[in-house]
Amino acid sequence: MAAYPIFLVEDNPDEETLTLRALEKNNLRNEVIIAHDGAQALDFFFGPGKDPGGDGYPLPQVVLLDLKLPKVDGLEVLRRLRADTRTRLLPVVILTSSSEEKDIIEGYGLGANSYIRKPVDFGQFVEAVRQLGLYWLLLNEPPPPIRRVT
Amino acid sequence: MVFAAVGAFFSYQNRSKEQADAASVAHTHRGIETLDTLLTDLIDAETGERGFLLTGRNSYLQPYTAALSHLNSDFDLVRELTADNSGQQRKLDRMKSLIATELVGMRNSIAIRRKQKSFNGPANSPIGAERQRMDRIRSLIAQMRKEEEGLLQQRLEAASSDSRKTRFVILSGNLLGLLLLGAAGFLIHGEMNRCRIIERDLRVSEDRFKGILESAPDAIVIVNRAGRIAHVNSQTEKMFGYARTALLGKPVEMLMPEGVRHAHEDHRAGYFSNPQSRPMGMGMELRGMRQDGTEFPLEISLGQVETNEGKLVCAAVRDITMRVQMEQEIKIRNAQLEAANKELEAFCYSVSHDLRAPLRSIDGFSQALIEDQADRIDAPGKAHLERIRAATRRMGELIDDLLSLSRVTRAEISRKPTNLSEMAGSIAAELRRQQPEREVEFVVAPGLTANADPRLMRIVLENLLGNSWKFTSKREHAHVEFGRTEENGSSAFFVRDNGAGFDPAYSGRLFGAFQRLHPSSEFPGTGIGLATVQRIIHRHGGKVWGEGQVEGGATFYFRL
Repeated sequence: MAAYPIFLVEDNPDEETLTLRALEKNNLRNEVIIAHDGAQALDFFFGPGKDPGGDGYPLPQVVLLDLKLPKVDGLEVLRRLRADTRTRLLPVVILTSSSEEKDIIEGYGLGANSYIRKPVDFGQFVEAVRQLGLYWLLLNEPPPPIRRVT
Repeated sequence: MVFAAVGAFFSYQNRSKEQADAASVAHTHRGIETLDTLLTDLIDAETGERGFLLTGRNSYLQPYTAALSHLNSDFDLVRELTADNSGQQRKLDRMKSLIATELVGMRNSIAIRRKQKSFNGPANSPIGAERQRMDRIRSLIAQMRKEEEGLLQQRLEAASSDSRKTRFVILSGNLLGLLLLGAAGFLIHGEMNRCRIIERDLRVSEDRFKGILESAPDAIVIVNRAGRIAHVNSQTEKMFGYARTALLGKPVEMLMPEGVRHAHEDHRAGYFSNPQSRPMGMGMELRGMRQDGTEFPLEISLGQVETNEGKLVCAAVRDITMRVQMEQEIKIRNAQLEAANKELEAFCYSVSHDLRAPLRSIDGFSQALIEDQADRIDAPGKAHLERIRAATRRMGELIDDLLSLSRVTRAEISRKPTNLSEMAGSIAAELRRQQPEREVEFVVAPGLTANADPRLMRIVLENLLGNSWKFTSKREHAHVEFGRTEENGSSAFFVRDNGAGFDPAYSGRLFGAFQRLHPSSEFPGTGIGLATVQRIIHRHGGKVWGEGQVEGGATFYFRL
């Protein structure tokens, strides 16, 4: 099965389109899984029958997480990811409009690996995504999957 | 009084002396009298005898016998009266024998005559011897008389001098007494005056005391050791709704709600044993109870006062119902303010997320259009789209700036000693890093510190230095300086550059939000930077102003 280098959690369809466009511009599009809200995201990882990191359920190389999400918001998703040993080390990049300090603090506090503020300017956004991709997919060493002792 | 006693004593003494003197004078008088009487007796006897001798008539014997009957007693009396004078006594002795002889002679003569029928004349002439004896007796009596008279004189003189002395003593004593009485009277008068003055002063001071009590803005309750109300003023009457008469003498606990009365009695005892001027019941909510039973919150301060009734405790009582109400209101207002602030924060948060997303869409899809439909959109079309993109970008900047301005307004200031030189240096370095191609000379005066909020100061310096950086972009040799200047005895920090400057005619608009003195085509910017700087400086209680010349650079001063 193909690995999922990027897991994108984004509720806004415009944002989704533009993010994918930016990824595409950087040749990273075909390795993306999308969840449209926090519940979907959690379901992908912890839904019935799922076994994140197990056979058939490879972990993404990086999660791009928006904060304002319906049903379950981004920080809660982050909390849940960090709470489970199987997903605890999963690299999560918060990609959001907000540069409110308290969001940044909370994000890092809950264990986000990185915090990026989406620029309004699309050109800048594309550049940011390029750097993201370069870093997390190529440069960064992902954590080894947690092998369950059976 | 002593003088009077002494005077009286002396008077008494002298009186007795006087009496004694009078007695002795009388004594002497009597002595003289009796001597005369004695002589008279003898003469009478003699006369009687002679008469009888001559006439032989018994009638002449009457004076003789009469005299004789007195003679002895008179003689004894004289003896008695001159008993204290030995000289006189001796004379009396002599006289006695003479008288005795004389009497014998007379008796004999009479006896003889009785026998005879007529007087034959002195046969033996006892008359001659008789005469001699009589003369001697007379002379003795005369001597004694003289003696007595002398004594009398003496005694009279003594008496008179005594009497004079007495009079003098009495007079002087009395005079002295009078003087003393006068003096005493004067003193008493003085004392009474003093008393009156003291009384008057006391009354004045009591009036003053009462006046102060009555004029006090708070209710005053003065309590004695037994916890009874000793004094109140009219404010107390008004505050608690009792007439003074209903309060005086009653236990002070009547002014409190029943529940606390017992505890107060204990506290009272404690206070008297260690009295200090202090507010009562620190930290406790004190309540008073009015006559109609309603309770109200109080503030009480205690102190001691010394009056002529002993040590008393003076309580200044303030009805703080109003104050408590106001405090409540303040609490409510504060809560409202907090709520408003929270709402504002939520708003800002929402703005920072929600407004930007659509902007991104606009910009992104415009760009997509330009890229994807490049062949189907002509140049003007593309230009339009570019302008759309520019506008959205600008809106993004505006939102960011507004957000940061509102953050600055909301932020709590925590002042600490802040090293502004270091801060300026790091900002300068950052600017250089962002645009390494630019040649800018940065001069930062070392060691400049201020007591300010470091984060907010960073925003100030970022804005001011950023502006300088921006507006010197057209200079070949840009020069930006940060330092401190002394002017008219007060110091201010400044950021100076040799950039585009501004027209001083418009300096009033420098700090207006979104006010710009240059078109964005020349120098980008939203016009919020200086407004933010001013907001921050004002929140520090300081002042900021700018000087500039068109193309002559600008200097911005601020004082915290």
